[in-house]
Amino acid sequence: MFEQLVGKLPVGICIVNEAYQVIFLNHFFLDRMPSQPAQDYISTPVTTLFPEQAKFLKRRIKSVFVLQHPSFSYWQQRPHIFPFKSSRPITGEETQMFQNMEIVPISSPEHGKLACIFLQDVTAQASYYLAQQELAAALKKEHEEQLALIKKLDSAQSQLIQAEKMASTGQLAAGIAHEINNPIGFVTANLDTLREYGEHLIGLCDALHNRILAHQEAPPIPVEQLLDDYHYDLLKDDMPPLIDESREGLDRVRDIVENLKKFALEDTGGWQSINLNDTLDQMIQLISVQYKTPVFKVTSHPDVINLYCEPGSLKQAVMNIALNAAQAIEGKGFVKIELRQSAVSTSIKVIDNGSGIENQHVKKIFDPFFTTKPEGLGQGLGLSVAYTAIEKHQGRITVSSNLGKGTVFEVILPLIEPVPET
Amino acid sequence: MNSVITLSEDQRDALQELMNISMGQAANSLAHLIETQIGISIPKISSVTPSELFTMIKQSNDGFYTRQSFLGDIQGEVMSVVSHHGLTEVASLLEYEAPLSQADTEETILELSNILAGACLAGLSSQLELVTNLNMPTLFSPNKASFVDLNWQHSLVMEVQFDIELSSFSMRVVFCLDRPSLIKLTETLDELLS
Amino acid sequence: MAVPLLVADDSRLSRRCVVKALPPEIEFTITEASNGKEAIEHLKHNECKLLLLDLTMPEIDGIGVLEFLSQSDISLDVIVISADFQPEKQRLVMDLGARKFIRKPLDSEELAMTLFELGYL
Repeated sequence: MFEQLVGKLPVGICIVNEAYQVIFLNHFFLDRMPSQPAQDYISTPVTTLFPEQAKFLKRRIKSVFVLQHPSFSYWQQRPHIFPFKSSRPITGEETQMFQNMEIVPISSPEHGKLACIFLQDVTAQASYYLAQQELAAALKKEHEEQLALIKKLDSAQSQLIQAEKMASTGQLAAGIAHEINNPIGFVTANLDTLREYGEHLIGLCDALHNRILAHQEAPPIPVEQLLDDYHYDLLKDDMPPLIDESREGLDRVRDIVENLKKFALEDTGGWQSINLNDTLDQMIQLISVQYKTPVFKVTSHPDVINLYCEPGSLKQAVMNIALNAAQAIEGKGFVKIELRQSAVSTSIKVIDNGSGIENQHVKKIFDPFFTTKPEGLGQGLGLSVAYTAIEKHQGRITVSSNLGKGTVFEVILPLIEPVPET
Repeated sequence: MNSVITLSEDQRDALQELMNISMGQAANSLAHLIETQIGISIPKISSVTPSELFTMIKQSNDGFYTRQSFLGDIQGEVMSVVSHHGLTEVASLLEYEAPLSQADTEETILELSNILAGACLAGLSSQLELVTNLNMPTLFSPNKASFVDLNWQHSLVMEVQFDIELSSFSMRVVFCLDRPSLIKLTETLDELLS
Repeated sequence: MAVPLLVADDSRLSRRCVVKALPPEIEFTITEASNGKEAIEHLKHNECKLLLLDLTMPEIDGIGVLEFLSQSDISLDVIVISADFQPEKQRLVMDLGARKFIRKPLDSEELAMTLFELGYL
């Protein structure tokens, strides 16, 4: 009975003597070896039967005989000691059997010292484990790729925001440069004229001086003739307005620079309290320099509104909305900004009676890169950046538009209290 | 339940001597197999907390770790620390061909652990006339957190060290017994001493 | 006349086993040392005819004791009783002048036989 049992065990059993000769093989081994009577294998060295791993088997069997202590081998390090196929030759993929092996010392009165090889088919566990490992590796790789992508996107986003800021600042600067060039142009021309006038005046004075010196012996001075020669009347009439005009032009330049400085440059970053009215006045000044046709107007309830915000991003947001409003106006029109503050929120409404937004576009206007402007005249980031900035202030932005009649943007910002310093 | 089990001076001395004899047998077996002389240390017997055990095992970062459990009259675990240094030479003594693959290295570590821990345990068991069976060793990497979480407070450990001077290879083997086995061990030691 | 004997072993159990294994036919004056240093100290200052020596000991090990003896003019019989019985170790011990190597655990028959061979019986 025991012989039958050992024969049928679902574990490979191979017993060898000290000369490595096989003295017993169970069915597990026999079924997987070239079919010939079991008797034919007896007394053949196990190293001859399985030459692929002869060296390893010999070493391990020797160690068991010498040490009289079990020896182990695992599929992770040595997956296929015996050249057996996996247990599912028909339905499964036919692969080599993954094996765990244990060799234990035994003995019998007939043969003396023996070594018994137990062979376990661990293909199922091994392929499960390997699949898991592969899956884990794939997941890890994917995860790393995603992380890299997110990082890339993050940096792309901040680059875009920076680019947009540069673009809208650039656009503003271009308009302002134009407006500064104008007064500089006429102040320069005026100065040239004034220089010429000055020469005439000096000439006149010199001539008068000479005549007065010569008067003792010369006939009386023909003053009228002299004044006429030096265009004195023209000088007298033209010089004050020229100076006034130049002065006014320089004042305009100074105002623009002042506004630009206040609005755009004094941006220290971080959250702080600002006077919203002053900020918007400066902004309107800057925009109106460039967009001359619309009438700009700011109303405020109450008269003074202070807002705790991050000035840099908020100004950029409102500026982008207001610039869009100004650009929407062709010919006569108005851009009106209504400020309202309640106990819980602040609202900034930008109303224009410009061309309006097509219905199909309304949903997309906050999408990055969406633009209806001709190529080269905008990246389509202005409102997207505004949206992000308002989100940062935990606020929301809404739009309603009537094609051909105008558009209303409303930004509502919840009241945020400054965090007391700890 | 978790009080410190202290060995009397006689018990400790006896256990140390039995370990010494077992180590001699283990070293001789390995020496015979690889035809190289093995140095053996004086065994250290001590009672440790889990974090002390961790410190004892993880003395340096230069090591491979294996553990294997044993069952029978006394039960516990053996942990071995195998030095990186000299491992290639020892593997070649075990007839592995250089350069070693990852699998060869792992197999060498597992085999060395199995041989030395197995021989020590077999020697100890036979002297005490106890039956023990060692299970297959596995590689592991000890980490402090999982040691601190162990649900015992004190354990008796026996630490021995083997060296192969020629290749400056060394290996430490730490035996840990569970509580019932400790009681069984002390009883057996007492019988031996009487 | 009693034979002056030194038993050097770090283990008390082991020293007890050695003493118990001594054949009762011979009379010994027994001194015990628990490491190599103690053994050397004793040998320097006392007359001793036979040394039963362990190898793995703290402070100075058995090999150290043998080296000391080989360089001194002390003459006595040394029997090494050790668990470390690797062939190389046995050869080294014999080269250093030990008369005989006996494996641990100690077999009293073997000890008696050795003492007989060395002419103590």
